[in-house]
Amino acid sequence: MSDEQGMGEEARLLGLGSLDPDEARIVRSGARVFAPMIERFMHLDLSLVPIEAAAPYGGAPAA
Amino acid sequence: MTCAQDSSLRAQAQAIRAGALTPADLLEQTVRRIAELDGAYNAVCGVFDGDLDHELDSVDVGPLFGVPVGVKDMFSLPWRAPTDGMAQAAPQPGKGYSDLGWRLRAGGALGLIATNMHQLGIGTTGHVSAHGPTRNPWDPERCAGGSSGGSAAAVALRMVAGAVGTDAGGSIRIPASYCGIVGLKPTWGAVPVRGYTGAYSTMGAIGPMARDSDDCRLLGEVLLGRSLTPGAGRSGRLVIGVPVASHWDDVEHAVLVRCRAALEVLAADGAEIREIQLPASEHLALATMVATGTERLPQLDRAWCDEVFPLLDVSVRAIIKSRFSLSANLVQRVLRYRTLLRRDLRAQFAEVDVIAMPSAPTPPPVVARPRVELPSGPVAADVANLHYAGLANLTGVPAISLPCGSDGDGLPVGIGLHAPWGDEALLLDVGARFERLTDRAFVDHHPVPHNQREECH
Repeated sequence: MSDEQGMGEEARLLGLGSLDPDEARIVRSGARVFAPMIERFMHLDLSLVPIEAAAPYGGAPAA
Repeated sequence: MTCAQDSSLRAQAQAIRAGALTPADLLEQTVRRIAELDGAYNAVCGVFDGDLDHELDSVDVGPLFGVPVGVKDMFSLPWRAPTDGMAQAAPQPGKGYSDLGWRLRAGGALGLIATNMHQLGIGTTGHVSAHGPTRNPWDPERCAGGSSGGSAAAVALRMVAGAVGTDAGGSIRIPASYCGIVGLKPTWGAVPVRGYTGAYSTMGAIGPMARDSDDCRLLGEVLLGRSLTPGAGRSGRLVIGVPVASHWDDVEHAVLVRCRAALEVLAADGAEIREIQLPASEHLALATMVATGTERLPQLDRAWCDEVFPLLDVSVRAIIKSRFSLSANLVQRVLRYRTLLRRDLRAQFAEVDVIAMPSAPTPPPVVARPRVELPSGPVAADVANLHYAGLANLTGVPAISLPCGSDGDGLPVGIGLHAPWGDEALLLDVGARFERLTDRAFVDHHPVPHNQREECH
């Protein structure tokens, strides 16, 4: 993502579709930190792990 | 002479019950101390100035009858609409009785002090707020932590003996650690959320912050609406799981020393210290950021964005906007990752009673530039902190931060403990045990504000 590209259609509908220079600087800085973290996360095999949508987060997961 | 303000929450409640102290006197002392101190700390962003008799008539004669407590500015209160760290209250939820307000009312507590917070709860440092950065009671150049920094600082400064915080990414435990107090994040869902600005979250929990574990227990019972009886249904040797590889390696030396010493204290009292592995835990910070950040997005509507967004700090605006660019794949993977973590914790808790790690990997960073220096290098405090805090939020388990010493500059260090779902009482029991074993050295040690409270010495 870049400030030239903007934040996408959903953000635009909310009036948040562009970044001012200060916002862009912070977003770029954050992206530098998180990009390698996201890359490593994408290598984690979650293919057989379900989303426990029905499980209350307050309780222990089902056996 | 000891000021009532310097007493524990338990002692304040007892003094009122015994007729030795009136709620009006205690509130007057509270307001006076806030006026004396808060100009230097920004812990408080609102103080009730209405009819106290009416407030007292409206609360039940509960265990905290007549005791004022701090409430993080994320809750509807009858006298105040929450600002969420902004210059003005958001359009919703407005004034009124939140679920928390009803719980406080049933417990007799007076939620009459609104505490400052990191704006919209988006940060673990507390230095971003329209009400000014919340400054650390031990060193005003340092952060008090966030997002419940005002609650933590107000307790540490003895403005109030207890305060309510919320924790979606360490926001109770990190400021508790930074300010040298006890903070308990209950199990997700333990406290109802209507009238809480973070009510949409599967990460956030509402919990007590106080100077010691038994005060946290007292306020926690009011918040959770159930007993947190010490030692209930438990016996045998305490087994403490320690994820050395993932959470005890890349921390500042003073934190490592103090937290290890805390474990040694418990081990000398018979606890077993057992090394454990937390698989895939390297992704905790990222997953916490993605989960907390994206859950907020459906809350946004055009009217809110038009009215409120321009008033936000640039860092908060940038973070919110950046979340729109995260992929659906990433968000869905984080949901699966949460399942993985929950299943792993269930297995861990079959073998150990609690899991211990530093509450934060460093003492509080400076307000002017909240970055921290880890053995692996410099990093933003938020990124470093979420690796430690995120486990409890992503899985929903309860967790606590206990003060366990200070670094060479006198800045507090906290150790974090995690327990199985629903077992808040165990965490408070371990906390009380640790405080007894250390002669309360860390919970009775308190900061000396810049302007001494002469009438109390």
